[in-house]
Formats: sequence, structure tokens, C-alpha cells
Amino acid sequence: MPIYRTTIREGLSNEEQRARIADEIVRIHCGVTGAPQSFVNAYFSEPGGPETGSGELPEGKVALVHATIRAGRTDANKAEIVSDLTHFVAEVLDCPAEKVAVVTNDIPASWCMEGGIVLPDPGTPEEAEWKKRDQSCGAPTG
Amino acid sequence: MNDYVCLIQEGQSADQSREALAEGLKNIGMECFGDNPAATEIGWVVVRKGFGFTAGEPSTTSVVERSVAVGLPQDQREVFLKKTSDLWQQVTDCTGNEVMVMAWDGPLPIQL
Repeated sequence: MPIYRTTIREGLSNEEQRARIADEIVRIHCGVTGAPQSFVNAYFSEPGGPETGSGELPEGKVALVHATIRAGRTDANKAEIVSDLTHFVAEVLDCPAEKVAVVTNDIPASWCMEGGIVLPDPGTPEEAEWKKRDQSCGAPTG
Repeated sequence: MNDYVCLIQEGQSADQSREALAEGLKNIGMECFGDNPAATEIGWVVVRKGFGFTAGEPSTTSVVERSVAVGLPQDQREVFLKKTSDLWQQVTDCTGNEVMVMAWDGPLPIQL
């Protein structure tokens, strides 16, 4: 957690561009939330492809980023993620920001297991304890 | 509509073990929720090479999502999460960090 699923119009991105976006997702997410990097997932697909898991593109868009993150982040945090990522994806794909959509979807931490444990809520003493205990191999993010 | 949606990486162990994973998921659904295994539907999202990253590196992570009854008690949810995480580790030989399991109240937010 988190999971950023990005659908990009077929043929519009190459592996180098996707890797840049994946790196930036890590930087933005961790920069905004303070979460460690270990479990920040970025998956890409193209509409109609065999791996499509994030649906078709909205009309007029060339990229859609759907971020599943733990509930408890502030609206300001989420707005910052959406804004920063929208502009970066547009820059990488060389298109206007209006052609990129980024949405976030909260999931309660207690509904998720990663690293064999149920994830703690953001900002709780349980999360702080988990981060301390697991610094070497990554703490829950999202 | 799928009961489970599993995101896996192309060519990796989970991709090569789909049959055993599907059987395990159906059994877990039966044990935890009384599912009929024959009627359980599982969707697979296979992430192509070069399309999946974790912490900015090529991903080896699987994501398993399932819809459960709204308001499912947490103790029952945790049994499901643990059984599914254990299944993945046993079948694919992955670590606990390489499988994320989510049990959503109500419909999955992203369907295939």
C-alpha cells in the first residue's frame, strides 16, 4: 500500500517514461505523507489490454491514475498528491495537464494485510511503532 | 462480477501458479464465507514486464482483492486476510511483503 494504477493511452508511453512516473509516484507519495518507500506500488496498463485493471480512459483523457491509499490522509495531502502527479504525468507524456486525471480512493487500513500484518491507521502510535520496528525492510505506506 | 481480483506480474511465480492459487482462494472463500467454490469467479490482472514497479523497481508484488459483506466483523476479516496471505506465500514462495490482500466492504472499486 499504496497502489497507483495508471492507464495510459495505447502507444503513448514507453518503459523509460513509466519508470520515471513510478519514481515520481514514490517521491510524491512519500514526500506528502511521510511514508517510507518500500511498498509504494505503481502499475500501468493500456485501455483494452489483457492486463487492464483500471478501466477505460474518461473521454478526453490520455492518462488516468487511480490511487488506492489508506484512509486517514488529509484532504490537503490528497489534493497535493493529485496536483503534483497530474502535472508530472502531463510533463512526461508531453500533453496538457487537462488530459490527465488523478483520483484517490481510501481504504481503511484494517481491511488490508501486507507483510503478514493488518496495516495500522496513518498517524497512530501503532503505525509509529511499526515503522520503528520495520525500518530495515519497509513499513506500511499508503 | 468477480469475487476476487488478483493482480500478478507476468511470468512470475504467481502467474505460473494460477490454478493452485484459484483452488486455494475458492477453498478460503468456502471456509470463511460459505462460498460455493464452483460459482466463485476469479479475475486476473497480469501486469506486463515493464509495466509494474514497487518502490520504483520492477515489481514482484501480487495484490489480491475481494468483496466481503458490509460490516464484516474485523476478526473474521483478519482470518480471511491471513489465510490468503499464507496461501500466496506457500504456493508462490513469495515473502509476506510481496503479497497485499484487501477485503473491501461491498463491491470492489475497480472491476475488470
